[in-house]
Amino acid sequence: MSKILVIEDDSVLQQAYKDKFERNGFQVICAVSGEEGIQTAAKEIPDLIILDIILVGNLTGEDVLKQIKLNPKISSIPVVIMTNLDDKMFKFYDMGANWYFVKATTTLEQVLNKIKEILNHN
Amino acid sequence: MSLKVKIILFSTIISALTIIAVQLLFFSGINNLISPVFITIIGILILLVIYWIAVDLIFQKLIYLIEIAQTIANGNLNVRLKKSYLGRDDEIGIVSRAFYFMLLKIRQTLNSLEDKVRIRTEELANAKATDEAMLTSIADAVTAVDKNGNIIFINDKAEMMFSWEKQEVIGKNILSVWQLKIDVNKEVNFENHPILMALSGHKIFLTMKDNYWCYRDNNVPFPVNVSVSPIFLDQKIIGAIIITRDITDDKKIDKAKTEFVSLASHQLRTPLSAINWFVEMINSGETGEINQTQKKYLEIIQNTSKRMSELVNSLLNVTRIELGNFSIEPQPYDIISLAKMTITELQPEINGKNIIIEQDFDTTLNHIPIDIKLTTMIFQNLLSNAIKYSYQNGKIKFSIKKMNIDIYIIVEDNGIGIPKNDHAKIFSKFYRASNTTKIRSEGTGLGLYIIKNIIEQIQGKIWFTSEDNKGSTFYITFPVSGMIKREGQKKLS
Repeated sequence: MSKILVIEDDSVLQQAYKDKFERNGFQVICAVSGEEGIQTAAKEIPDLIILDIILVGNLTGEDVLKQIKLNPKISSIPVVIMTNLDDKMFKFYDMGANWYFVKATTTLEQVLNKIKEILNHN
Repeated sequence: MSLKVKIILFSTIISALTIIAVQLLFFSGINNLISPVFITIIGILILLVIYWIAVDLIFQKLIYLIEIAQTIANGNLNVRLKKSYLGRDDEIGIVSRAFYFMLLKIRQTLNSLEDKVRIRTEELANAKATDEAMLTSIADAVTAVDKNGNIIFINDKAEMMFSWEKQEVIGKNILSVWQLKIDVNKEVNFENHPILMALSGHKIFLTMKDNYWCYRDNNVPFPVNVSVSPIFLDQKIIGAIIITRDITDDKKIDKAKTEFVSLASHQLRTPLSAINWFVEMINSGETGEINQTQKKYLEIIQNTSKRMSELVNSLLNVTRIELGNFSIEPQPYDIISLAKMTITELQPEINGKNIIIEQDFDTTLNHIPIDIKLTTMIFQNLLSNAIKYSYQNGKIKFSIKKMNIDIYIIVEDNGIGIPKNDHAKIFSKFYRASNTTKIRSEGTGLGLYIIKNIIEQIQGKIWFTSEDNKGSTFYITFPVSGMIKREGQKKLS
């Protein structure tokens, strides 16, 4: 069973991801802050990370992605950026993100399909 | 008694007395002692002496008057006429009095003239002082240069802003003391330097978007707005005037606005995403079966939430447009395929009203540099408006053509049209035509406002023709050479 780490500070959205992905056969672990996300990623080694950009705490999604890519233990884990900031796409692709979704214009079904596609590809 | 009469009388009396004297001498027998010729000569000599004395007396007065006249002619108005002359009732008296009044008049005229000159001089000095005070008190830095670029005036603010001392910079060439750079530290091209442009007759305005910077003495850069204008005198350029405004605070506000837009976009969209996703999950049936009414209501929630998302998007776009910092990123793209994609996206709405879409696309149009996102927004807006304001079973014609050096995008419908009274306001923010309630349609009144602003930024034009209840045709043109790249902090969404 593939393991997905969701780094998202909004509990309602966290719930939505968890319900959707679990119903579709994934194991889901959640983190609310960047710090917690990086620790969990290093400990659990998920198959894919869903990463929000504006987070509680000192680290932004951007910092988290940077640290993931710098840590050889977790740098190869695919990262899907989920955000409502719609003008930073190219920046995150340059930093090594696998996909970039704008939450407001995306359905969960589209996210699920993209996750399946990335995991199958890997 | 006049002088003339006096002289005649006097000569007559003297002549008479002389004749009488001569006669008396003849008859007294004195002619036996002295010859009559001698007596006659004596008489004539006495007459001459008396005449001489009389004429000399008159001439003395005339000479005095001539001297007075010369003194006045030499500009001395302080001469005083003898009182005895003024009181005379002869010609000397008349001339003296004439001189006296003339002097009086000249003195008066001169005094009033001097007063006028003094008042005018004071006025001019006041006006000059006021002008200087105004220039000095302007809250922006004012610097004036002559036609060679040498500084001739700076105000207090300029001294403060650039850490200048008035006496040190006056007379120096402005290019040697005024540092103007682009993007903090890039040199301005010599031929594009605003001072040189102004001295050749152009007015230059550098705004926040141009990103110009000046320096204080201790090499601290600060952002500026600058306007440089030539000074004309008798249609000749005699110099230039430079007004510099420190916009450090404006920059801060602008940054705060941009950050607000960014945060608002995030904060407003997050709850909407949650609504959309949960409705999506229930609606898909993955959480259990739902009945038809529940399905209908969920669709209403979904549509309402979609409308809310669109409104947030529109408001953010308006903010970005008004901040003037959205980017234009053209790339060669098949504009026709983009148009067809938009039609496909809007197919549910088109089918819902059973509308026929006639496509009239110039297929010879090659890939042209367009910003895909902005072009899609334009197509979506025009087409969804045409659908929204069409009647059931309506007809829409969507054309893209090349005419001369322009691309024409034309969307024609036979819907409700725009009443004449609304024509002037149709591109205004939040404006919706008065007849939109006739047909059940939702809208924010922001679409055409956003589109018009985008079109203006891509060197294009937008206009329309419309008749109430007969339909509308919207026209957009932009150069076939495509859109021009522009860096911006934000993309429209």
